[in-house]
Amino acid sequence: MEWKKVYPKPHPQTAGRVIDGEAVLILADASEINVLNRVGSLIFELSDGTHSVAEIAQEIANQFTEIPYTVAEADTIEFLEELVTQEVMVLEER
Amino acid sequence: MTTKVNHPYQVSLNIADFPVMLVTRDEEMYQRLMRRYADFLDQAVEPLVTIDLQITPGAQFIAPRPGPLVIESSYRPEGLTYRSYLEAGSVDWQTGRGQLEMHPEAGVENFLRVVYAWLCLQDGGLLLHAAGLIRHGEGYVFFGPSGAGKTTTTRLSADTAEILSDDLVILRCAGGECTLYGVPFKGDLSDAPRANQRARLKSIYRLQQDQEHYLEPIPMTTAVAELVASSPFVVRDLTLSYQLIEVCRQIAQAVPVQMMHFKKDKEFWKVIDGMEKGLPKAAPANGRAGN
Repeated sequence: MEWKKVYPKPHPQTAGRVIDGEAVLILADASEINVLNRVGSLIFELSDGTHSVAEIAQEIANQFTEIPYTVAEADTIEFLEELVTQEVMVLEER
Repeated sequence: MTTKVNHPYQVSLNIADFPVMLVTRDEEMYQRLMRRYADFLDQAVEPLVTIDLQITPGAQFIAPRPGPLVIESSYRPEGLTYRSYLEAGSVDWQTGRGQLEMHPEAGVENFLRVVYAWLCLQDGGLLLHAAGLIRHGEGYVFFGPSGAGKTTTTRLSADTAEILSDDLVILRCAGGECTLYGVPFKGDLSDAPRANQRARLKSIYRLQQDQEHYLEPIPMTTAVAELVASSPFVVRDLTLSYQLIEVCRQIAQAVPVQMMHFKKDKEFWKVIDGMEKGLPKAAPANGRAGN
């Protein structure tokens, strides 16, 4: 998959809101509530259908300077794939 | 040929300052409702919603199957639909009119719970799956999943506090302060009185059964998530999910929300009272850090 062309966005049955830098997610289908850590919350916040995975990874590397871009990209992809499996997120290829 | 038209009976409820009128042509049901909701009747206020109750012999909307109670509801800004095994209804928020068609053996209570859950959330309040009580004039809320100890906490507090409910309460916040309201809906402690009382909300405790009594701070986001997870009906429908998270955030910002580790005895009040007086607490014997 070419991550520059992949745009994640929340699954229709998921809603979330960032409070104090941490995202509270409501997964209506699973009747679950999740709280994401700061990096996860930033990924969730940027996953609005207008940022590609590569752009999100770049923003992670910009904000968390201790994380090199290659690591940020690998972590972002792994995290998003997990969220897709849990039906929290959907990926759109353009 | 003449048709006998019974006089409609009106039952005017006022729960947490949300007035709802039930209208029935069945005198027996009217008497039952008047007895059931005696402490929550209020003729003086204009209802936000008027619900016509229609009894239909043989009515069935969902076939009963073994498993948990099924209640289906769907919220839209213009209205609400509801159905369970023996009753189905709807509310039009614009006109303030609703109806509930029900089997003679069905009750109105589950429908009312759903209606109140949405009425509360629309107005910035919250119907919370929690035990609530008033102690020394102030409101305390204990919440957690089924089995966490809500009913136990209320039973253990019955001699020192006024029990509002062991199952559901309503919270409403304004100006940085929250108010705890009792509701008439039955919980596990079905023989307990349901008091139509309110009090300034002092604190909220997420129950966790343990070998020791101690309080543990909960980070703000976790507190919000825990409150969201304990909001019946509205959490399953994403229509007002942002509003739900925001209401829970306001509550968690206005009132301390803490994890209360407790074993099943009254001593937990000493920990709460000690906390309020600012007394130092001994760390639990197992070495975990208390607050």
